[in-house]
Amino acid sequence: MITLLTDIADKILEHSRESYPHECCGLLAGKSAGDGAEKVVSEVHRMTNTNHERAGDRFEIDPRELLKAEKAMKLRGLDILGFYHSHPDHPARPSDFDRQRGWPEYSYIIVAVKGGVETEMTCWTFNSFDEPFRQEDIVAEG
Amino acid sequence: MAVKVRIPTPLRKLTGGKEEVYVQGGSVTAVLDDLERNYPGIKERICEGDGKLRRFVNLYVNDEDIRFKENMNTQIKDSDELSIVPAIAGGFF
Ligand SMILES: [Zn+2]
Repeated sequence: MITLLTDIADKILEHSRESYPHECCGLLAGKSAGDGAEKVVSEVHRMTNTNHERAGDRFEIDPRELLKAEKAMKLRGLDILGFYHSHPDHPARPSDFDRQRGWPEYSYIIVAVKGGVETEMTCWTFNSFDEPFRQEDIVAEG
Repeated sequence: MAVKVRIPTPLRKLTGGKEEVYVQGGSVTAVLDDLERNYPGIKERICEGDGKLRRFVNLYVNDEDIRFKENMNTQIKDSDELSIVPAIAGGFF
């Protein structure tokens, strides 16, 4: 289960709509308990989509930007719990490419954005390198 | 003295949940070998069979990408920090 505190869900949806028709991406920071089974996201940070050629159907995060953000989070006692990205005019389900490039333990929030307006948000995770994605329940506390 | 290695969440199962570990070594290769001695199974997540860095993993010595230095031969001093940073990507197609 992943809990999104305060305005976290709104921030993710806003970023997804703003970036339409391109994919946006960002990181989820907070704390986790129970071996990662319970995650609480208290901050999100927008990341640059560095896949400029295919920004319409792919995203890539600059590792240097990620490292910098991670170090800043750590100083505040927060950990990177996962990432979010949008699927412009495509369902909020992970693609084969998402799974290929995914890492275990992280949560991946996917936002489908239809026509730049209507949105649907889901979350996915897997525990070890040989497992498929499974859906994670999202609780939005706002 | 030792080198601090920062472990990303997806690899922490291999370090017993530790976010940071301390190992010995004067180069990236030596540090990764000592990391593997202490936490078996971790090196294959970072390197290919021939010892080269995996394509979707980045290693930073302090704030420098080893690909822009001497790669696996990059020198490391005590008090340096080696960060393992997964390459994050995806998309609907
Ligand atoms: Zn995707």
